[in-house]
Amino acid sequence: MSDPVYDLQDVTLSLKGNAGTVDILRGISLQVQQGESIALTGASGSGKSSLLMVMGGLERATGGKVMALGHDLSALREDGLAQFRQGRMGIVFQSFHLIPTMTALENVATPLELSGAEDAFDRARAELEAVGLGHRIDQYPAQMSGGEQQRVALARAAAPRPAILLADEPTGSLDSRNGAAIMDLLFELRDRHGATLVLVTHADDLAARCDRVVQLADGRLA
Amino acid sequence: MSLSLAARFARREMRGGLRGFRLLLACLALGVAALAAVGSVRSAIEAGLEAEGAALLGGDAELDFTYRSASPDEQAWMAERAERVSEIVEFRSMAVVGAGDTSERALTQVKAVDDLYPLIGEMVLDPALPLGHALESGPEGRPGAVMERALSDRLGLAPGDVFALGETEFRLTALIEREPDSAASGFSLGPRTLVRRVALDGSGLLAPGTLFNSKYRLDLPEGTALDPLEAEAEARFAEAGMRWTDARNGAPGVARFVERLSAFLVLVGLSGLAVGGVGVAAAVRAYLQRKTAVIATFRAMGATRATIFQTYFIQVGLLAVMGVALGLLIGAGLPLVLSPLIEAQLPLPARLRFIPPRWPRLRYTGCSRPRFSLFGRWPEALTCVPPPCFAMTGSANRLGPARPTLWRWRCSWPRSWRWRAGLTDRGRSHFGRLAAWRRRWRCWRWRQPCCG
Repeated sequence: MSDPVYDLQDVTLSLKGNAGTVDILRGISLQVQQGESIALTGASGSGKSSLLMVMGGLERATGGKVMALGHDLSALREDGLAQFRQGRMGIVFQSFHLIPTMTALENVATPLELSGAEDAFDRARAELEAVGLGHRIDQYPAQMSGGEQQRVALARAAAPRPAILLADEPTGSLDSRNGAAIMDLLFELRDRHGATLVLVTHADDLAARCDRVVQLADGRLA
Repeated sequence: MSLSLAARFARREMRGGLRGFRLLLACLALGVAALAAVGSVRSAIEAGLEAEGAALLGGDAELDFTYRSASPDEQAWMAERAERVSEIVEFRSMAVVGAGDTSERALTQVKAVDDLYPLIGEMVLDPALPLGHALESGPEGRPGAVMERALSDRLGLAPGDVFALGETEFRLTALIEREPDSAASGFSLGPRTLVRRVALDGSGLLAPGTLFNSKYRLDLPEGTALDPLEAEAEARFAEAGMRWTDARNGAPGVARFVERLSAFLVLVGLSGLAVGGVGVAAAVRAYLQRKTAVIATFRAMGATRATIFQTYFIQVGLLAVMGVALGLLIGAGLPLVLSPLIEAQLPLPARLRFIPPRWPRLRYTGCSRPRFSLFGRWPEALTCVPPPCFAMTGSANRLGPARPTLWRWRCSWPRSWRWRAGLTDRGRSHFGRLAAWRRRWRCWRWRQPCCG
């Protein structure tokens, strides 16, 4: 059996605030295999988004070890984490986070440009066509609907052919029809590229589409 | 690769327009414009002084003797070299009107001139009379005189009235409207009165021991080289108390005054820039705060701190260049537009014209570089790249303001303090303590999680 894409060992995350220290994640141990799709579910405040951020290197665990694609994320500094994400991780946010001054094509090409791809715009155009937005490549985010923006965000996450796709409630800002279409697209992209998918969702039907559901409660695996 | 990529990102980011940067542009443009305008007016005055040097001096060169007239030998030397020589005697005296207890007295700077005065330029009188006619003796035998309005008002004199200088009575024939060589005369204790030199014979004012200056203005042949002539005069007459002035710097006192005034105005402008710098720092900070989500998104996609710094540094740099260019254009163009007003108000010749920005003017914009370090918040703010978790949470900390406050505080620490603190031994010691403290704080920071 090949090495797991993710190997989390006793991961903790604590925050210090005015009211004292709050433990967000309490000893999470989790392995995710190559090509697997897992859904992180749980009530609000259970720590699922925080776990996703730790897995994406967007947040630093305060304890334990986070191994991703054989790299110890805990040992990398911020620039090291950023460079690690280049081409290896695609992240889809709930509120899209497209760059408003860039066209759809430029938004999708940005991660490719950051990873030094020579044919960034050709690949971005192909990715936009794959999500059905080939005719809107020159549109700015403000000129698009929420569903279209999320499709651009999906194309942006998938464009570098990442080994890992992370999605934080990607349908949270969409109506049910658009949400279903986006989920179809997300799984289609994941299937096409063979990426490992980690999905945060509240919806049981979406979670059921994943290979495995990981339930969190009060910062622990339930 | 990183710089070209950052330039591409910066170009895309700037499609958002100048919204949020108007304050930055205004601060920079106004500050630089003020300094450039001072430079423009100064250049215009210097050009005017240079071009009108002979008119200001009243001749191509002047030999000044203190407390005596030129000797026959000296006069012969001047006559040999000049086409015309005009003699002027200057001294202070009291102008007296009336006699006894009802008399009025006022201090005046008397200028006794010959028939050739002025060699260059024109005296303007009120009423409009030729100077020679105004200084002629009248039918009653009193010589004519002209004086400045300030003096005539002080003494209650009008053209046609009589006043005395020493033992001689003069008839006021006109008031001085414009004296061509007044700027070159330098400091004077009273308003000017002009009379004929010969009219002072018998006045008792130019007796041995009187404090007076004799000035000999030379109208030199075309093409006379001033340098060797000055050297010759200095070699021959310097021991005799002669002072040389020529058209190359016809009004040295005025030139010094203009230089000091412009230095003062530059200082005032720099003070304005210092205040404007706070606005610039605030504008950059506000812009970067608005861009927090975008920067965090860049980070999430794998952009390094260097790429993000360069992206926003290029934007701010381009805007700074635009502001400086705008300020230079305003500073160079506004005095030109207002040239009729400025030239009318200045008591000096000024040649206002559009001078393209060049080094002497650009040096004033050097303030933008000191400002860049003085207000180190610019680059420092740019280095404060928000953590990528901003993209997911929209906040640095869901638990409260403790972390964001510290984060903002760190961003507000001007990095240039370190540089400045390192300039002196005491500063280096201070810097060492600061750096150690900062290292400790950063270690503490890295141990802290960013988001919940």
